[in-house]
Amino acid sequence: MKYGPILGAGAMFSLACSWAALVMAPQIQLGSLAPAALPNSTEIYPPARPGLAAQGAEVYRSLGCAQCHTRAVRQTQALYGVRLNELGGPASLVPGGADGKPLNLDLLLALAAVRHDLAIAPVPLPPALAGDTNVAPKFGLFETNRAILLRNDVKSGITRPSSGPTVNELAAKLPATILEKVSVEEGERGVKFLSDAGAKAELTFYNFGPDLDRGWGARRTVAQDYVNDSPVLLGGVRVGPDLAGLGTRAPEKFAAPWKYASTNTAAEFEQHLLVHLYNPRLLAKESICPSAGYLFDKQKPEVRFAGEPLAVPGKDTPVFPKHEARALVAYLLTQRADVGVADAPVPAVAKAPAPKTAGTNAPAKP
Amino acid sequence: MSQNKSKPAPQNADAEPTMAAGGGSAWPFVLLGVVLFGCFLHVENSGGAFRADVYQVGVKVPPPMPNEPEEVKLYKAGAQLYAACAGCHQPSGLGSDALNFPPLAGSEWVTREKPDRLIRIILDAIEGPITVKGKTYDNAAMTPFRGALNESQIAAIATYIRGNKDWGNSAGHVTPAQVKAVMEATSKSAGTKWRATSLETVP
Amino acid sequence: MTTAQPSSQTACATAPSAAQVEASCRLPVLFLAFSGAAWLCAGAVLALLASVQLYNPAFMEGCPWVTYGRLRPAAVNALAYGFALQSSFALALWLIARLGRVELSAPLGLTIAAKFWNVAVTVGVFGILAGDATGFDLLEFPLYAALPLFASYACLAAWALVTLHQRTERELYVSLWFVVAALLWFPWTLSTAQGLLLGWRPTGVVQAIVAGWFGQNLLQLVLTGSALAVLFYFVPKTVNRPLANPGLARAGFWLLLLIGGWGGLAQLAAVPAWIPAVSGAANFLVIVPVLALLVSLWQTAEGKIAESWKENATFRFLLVAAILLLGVTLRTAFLGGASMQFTFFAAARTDIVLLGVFGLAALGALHHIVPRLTTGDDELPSSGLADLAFWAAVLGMLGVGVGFSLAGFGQGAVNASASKDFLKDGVTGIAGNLKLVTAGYAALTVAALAFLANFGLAVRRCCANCCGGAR
Repeated sequence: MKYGPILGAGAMFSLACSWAALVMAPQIQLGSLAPAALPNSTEIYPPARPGLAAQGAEVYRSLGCAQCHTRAVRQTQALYGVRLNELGGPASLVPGGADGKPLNLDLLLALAAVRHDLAIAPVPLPPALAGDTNVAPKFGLFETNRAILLRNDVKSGITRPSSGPTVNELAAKLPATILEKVSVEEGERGVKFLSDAGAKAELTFYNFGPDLDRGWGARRTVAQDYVNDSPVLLGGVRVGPDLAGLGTRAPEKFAAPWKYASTNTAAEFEQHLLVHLYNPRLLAKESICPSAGYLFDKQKPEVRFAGEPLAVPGKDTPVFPKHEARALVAYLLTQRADVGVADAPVPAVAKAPAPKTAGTNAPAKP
Repeated sequence: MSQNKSKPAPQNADAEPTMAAGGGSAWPFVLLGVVLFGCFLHVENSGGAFRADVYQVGVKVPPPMPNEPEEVKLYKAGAQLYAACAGCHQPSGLGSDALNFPPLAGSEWVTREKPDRLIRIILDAIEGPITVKGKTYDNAAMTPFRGALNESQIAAIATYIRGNKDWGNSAGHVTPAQVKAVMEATSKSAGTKWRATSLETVP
Repeated sequence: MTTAQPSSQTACATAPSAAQVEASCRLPVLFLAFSGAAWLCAGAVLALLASVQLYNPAFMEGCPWVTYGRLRPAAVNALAYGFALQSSFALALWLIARLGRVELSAPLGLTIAAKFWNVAVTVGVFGILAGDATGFDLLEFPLYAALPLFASYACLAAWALVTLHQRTERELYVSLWFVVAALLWFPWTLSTAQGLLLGWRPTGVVQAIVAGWFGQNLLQLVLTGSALAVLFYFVPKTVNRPLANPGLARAGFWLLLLIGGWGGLAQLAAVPAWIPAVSGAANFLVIVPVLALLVSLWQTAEGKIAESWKENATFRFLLVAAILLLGVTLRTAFLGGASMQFTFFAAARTDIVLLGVFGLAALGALHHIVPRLTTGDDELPSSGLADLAFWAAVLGMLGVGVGFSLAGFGQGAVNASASKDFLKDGVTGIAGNLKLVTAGYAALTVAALAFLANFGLAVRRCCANCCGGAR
């Protein structure tokens, strides 16, 4: 090769290829992400950090916490379920259930179609309604359909227990978990069957993974979680535990578990983090986190930075956290990985209450 | 130049390396083809079709439930569009007694069970004396919105003013279909402003 | 003078002699080489101190300037910008001058630009220790250091390319392909990344993608490319044969350029699945050009490897660097996925490429270049120190590479199962391996000091030789 410019052109072309694929394409896909309303709510996610927490993000960057801590939760699997919430509207309900509650007869048939492991008990026509020409035929129809269903079971080779738990019992106590930890196709099919019968059913989610088992979050972190972070500070090595869900982590899920000693959980959580900053080895002897004692003062600070002194275990005199320490703790308290977003839903039951603003947070009790 | 005595002198210390003539093998390209095929398979299996919302293949996130019930969507849209009315009826919905702008907050014309009168007022405006909350207003200045806003927008505004809890209104929402029905029913009298008397014939 | 070369019919008449070429290179290349080696020493010391804190947190605690979170990025960036890039400039300038048979244009200007580079790196390292790091791997220098850095690079590269343009030997040898590619690649990727991360910043995880893309390009193309340039120059020269299969080298070169920039993002978190999938596939695909290039070298040296190992200090460094190149490529391809995500195993790739593949190649080349530019010999004055540098560097690389990898396996096990206790298995359990890393960095410091001592001896001898003569 004699010509340098050919080399240069070739180099530029090659660079442009990788740039287009790995810088431009992700920017096109993810660059317009912004804080957005959560599905079915007016809450904006991710919420803007209050000022103290925003300053804390700068302290986090400056001290290089991202060299040891990641802020990304991983997930290995997601499964689905079906939850029955309501029996349905007036069009689907008939009177005649136990305790005067209404029944949805079509729903019972749909449940039987979805749950092959449950029996379907006959529903007798209450004598009081025998004369009601609107209602009585529905019971007859139900009995006919039930018989057809049981005959079809034989044809399809489904062995349904003739005694034991029944779909009638399942539908009696709402909300009821109809299906658990199934594939998305089965879940959607279940929801469709139940909705076609007039009932209100919803798809639920189960997230699995070692990080989630550790209590580090309720779901994987996705791009939406980081739109307010600049620099993003994802972290690369887990020298220390992951911090993505720290703000709502239960004390027993910490790497060095602890327990609340009082009912003032928000203040205790904050104090725990401050003591960790002061000297991590007071809370976990094997911890290799460097102590940030320089973020604490021995004497009272100026009035404008005044705050509660920190009682450090093993020390007689309290120390006074500096502004940076409080800011860093406020930032850590805003870390959560349990809000369900469109790309990463969470089980509804696990949703923690929204953290209180202005630097304190009420962590969820499991 | 001095030489390192303990080792034999290199033969051509000043010479540059040269390239043998010719040369070239096909095997890198064959290997490239094979590995590239494997790469395509891998990306097809675990790449999630290059979608921005797939973070793990096999985890199918069901399509998002419709975000909000229609009434909420209409309300929110109406809150934005109400700016067209706020000039006279005020952002507070209280209107102005001095300037003869009737209030919408707590107005019985707004919060009737059926929204037909309200839709007609928005479509073709109203003039002449009208009693709202015990006071009489007489203003010919209201602009009709029949051409200016489509049925969804009018439905949104109507939903907003009927259901604005801050104003004390909690009447039901208005659908675009209802607005469209009224638009068609009153198409013959389009352009003629309503009066309180003519509106009273509307259920 | 030059012996007969088949490709330089017209060059012989007007080409400067090798001695003249080297005379013009002397100031900038020696300055860059010395500063590079000094930064290797400083960076290795910083990395050593940081690695001690990984199992002994009380070490140097209480001072925010030397907390691990600042010390480690300072070390890595010092090694990357202070040692690696400076050495690669030194090698680039020398290779352009020698292979192009042309005197370096503006040697004084190059030296001044190199001085500014050093000032910028020093300011940057202190800036990181002061807490102004940007938070992006390998791009941690704050803006006030990054801009002068880029400016001095622009001067260095401009003069290098001018020299290249003025070359008398028009045929570009393989090494020059890599050199030109690296000289162009670095500012293009650096300006893109710095512009996107320090200037107009994209939202969220795209920043991590850009930073990862830059890191990959720096390691795989700029630094590995410089190492390959050195390999392709010294291997044929040492075994005294022409390069065996230039077509293979050409194929390898272009494939490396096309594929090399695509990898490196296979372990990125919180990004859509296609990015790790594409990047992981590229990590595999890059094995092909690396193999092609290494086979071309092997075919050149076949049969004479043992002999050259015994005789030539430079060759030893280069052989180990080539083995490490193959090793790190295979390692990243096979273990660069989710199992080793967020572990030291993944983080070690930077060290292995920076210090192993490039570091050993550069040290080897400098063991030849420095004596040529000072005393005129082919070897540094003290072969004992050269051997010490070699063995210390190899042991250092082994310590760092093996230590981090074993620690990474431990962390990977913790990451894979919630039943493993984080503190017991993930922190205390890997402390032993991290001590190996400290030993590795200590050995690397010794290697750097040995080279610097040898350098000093060579300069002293050179000054003694021409004492009283004007230069």
